[in-house]
Amino acid sequence: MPQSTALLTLEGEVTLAHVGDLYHQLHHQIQTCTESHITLDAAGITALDSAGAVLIQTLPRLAERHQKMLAIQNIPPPFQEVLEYFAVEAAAPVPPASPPSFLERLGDGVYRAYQSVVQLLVLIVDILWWSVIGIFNRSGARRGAFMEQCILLGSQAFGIVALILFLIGFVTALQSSAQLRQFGATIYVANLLAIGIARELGPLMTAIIVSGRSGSSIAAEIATMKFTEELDALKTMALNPIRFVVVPKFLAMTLCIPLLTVFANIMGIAGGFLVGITYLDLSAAAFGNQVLEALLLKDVLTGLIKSVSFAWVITIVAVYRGFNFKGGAEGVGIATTSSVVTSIFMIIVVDSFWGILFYFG
Amino acid sequence: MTEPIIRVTNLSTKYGDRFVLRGVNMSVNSGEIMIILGGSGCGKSTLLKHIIRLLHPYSGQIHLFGQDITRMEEHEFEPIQRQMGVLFQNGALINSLTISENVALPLQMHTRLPDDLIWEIVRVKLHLVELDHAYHLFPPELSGGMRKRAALARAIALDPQILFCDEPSAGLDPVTCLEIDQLFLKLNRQLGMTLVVVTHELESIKRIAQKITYLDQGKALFSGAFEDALKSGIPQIDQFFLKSAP
Ligand SMILES: Nc1ncnc2c1ncn2[C@@H]1O[C@H](COP(=O)(O)OP(=O)(O)O)[C@@H](O)[C@H]1O
Ligand SMILES: [Mg+2]
Repeated sequence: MPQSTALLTLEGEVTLAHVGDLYHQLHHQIQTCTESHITLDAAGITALDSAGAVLIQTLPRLAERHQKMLAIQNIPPPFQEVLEYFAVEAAAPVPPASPPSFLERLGDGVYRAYQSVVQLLVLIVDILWWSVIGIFNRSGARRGAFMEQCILLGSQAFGIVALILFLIGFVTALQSSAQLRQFGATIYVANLLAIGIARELGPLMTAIIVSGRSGSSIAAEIATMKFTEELDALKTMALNPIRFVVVPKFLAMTLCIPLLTVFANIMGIAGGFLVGITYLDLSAAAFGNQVLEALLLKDVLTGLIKSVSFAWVITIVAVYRGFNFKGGAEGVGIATTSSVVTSIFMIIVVDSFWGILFYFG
Repeated sequence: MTEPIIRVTNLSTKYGDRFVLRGVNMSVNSGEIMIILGGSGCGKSTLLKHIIRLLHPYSGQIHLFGQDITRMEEHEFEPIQRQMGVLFQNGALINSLTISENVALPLQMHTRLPDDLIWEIVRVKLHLVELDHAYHLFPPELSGGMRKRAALARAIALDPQILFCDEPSAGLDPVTCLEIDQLFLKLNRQLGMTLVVVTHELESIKRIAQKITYLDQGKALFSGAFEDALKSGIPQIDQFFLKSAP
């Protein structure tokens, strides 16, 4: 029945620049026309690109949504080819990505947690094993790698550790002297400071600073190596990445963090010393004696044991995060950040553990 | 004769103190396929980056669509930029977006098309490069060759008038390479797209080249029609085509 057929025309440049307007215009015309059959005359097209082709091919479906039939005719032959080339139907329909159910996610989470724990344990055993081997047999690592790492680590952390511990010693002495002065016992500032720094603040602050400064760079370095397939390259050269990359760092950390801690302790006490001889009017000799008297070898040693354990925590967390890196370059950033956050958390957990052990022990 | 769509005049540039391009001349007419070739490190990528204005020349001019882009403000360049698609050497897909979102990005940012049309166009473009199945995947989940094809789909998302490709077939298998060349020819013939392609692949050059520019140590030894290059008698060019011929 010719009466019930509406005639629409499509003409001019049916290209990206105009397709948006054409779409809205035709959509409106299809919506408002009363006939159920529409014929689209395309004889007047002067240019057609992929966007135009897609437009033409989506029109029948658009009409269908309004319960109408749309037929296209008179497409000039050269454009017919373009139309075929950019055929929408040929492209496979896209299945929607369905979100997993709650149970699926729960199961997935548990399974992944289990896998991480296994991975972590394997990693720890690997690192410890190859470190012990590495101490006696240097063949699997590059020569000088250990010294290189020590120097790097020391130079990265030295200045900032010194400054921060000095300030902490200074502030702690000031704060405590305000309390102790009420009892006329300002000399005990020295005891408090020496024990507090050697047992707790020295190792803890050093570890936190090193995790931010060096732990992060270990995680970034390993993640980058994974990203650029350097780790795979090492493996193909029959070099164990743990032994070649991780062990020098692990050993350097194990040596340098205790050394940094000793140094940090000295700087912390020096900060307190400054308060003592200026603000509290104590004599240098009295303060020094008091410190030496208060400080048992045990305090210093427990501090050092702690700092070794922190060194291990920092390295293992950083290496784990580095190896577990996923995705592209932005994954490197994620690995770095999460390594710092996790290792600070773990340092404090381990510190509490030591606290309980030494307090009752 | 009409003004060429790309005209590079006396282009020189340096990194630090070292000249990388020394007085390069080149012109491409609308609808042509220009191949830039030469040994690695001779400045092909650098030349390309100047034409798409990622780098600024030390001296010389670059005309695109008859306008000198070296003397242009950023906002003046923008409309020209929309007429060009670029396929980078490493793909340069945005890793935090899926493949389909990567292809949709220029459409969403530079046009006001309705959403359903955009996703249809994305589907068609991904079909052209045979990546229908990669629609929801992220770039790191694809192989190198697939990433390159996805990047190509993104480069042609806006049906640019000029398509620049830096080593599109490097690291691809011969079959994929052939398919990409066929895609180039289709884009060239059916949409009249102008192509500037950096490549070493002899097969590829034979299939698609209309014009070539041969760079050697920052100088264009030859720039003109492909047949003329073969007849030019320039030793380096002869060597390139003879040596790599089986
Ligand atoms: N950002 C840069 N800084 C310094 N030199 C560069 C830089 N990029 C490239 N070069 C040098 O410029 C020359 C040309 O590089 P390029 O254009 O990338 O070569 P190719 O022809 O292989 O694409 C090379 O010698 C390269 O070392
Ligand atoms: Mg290059």
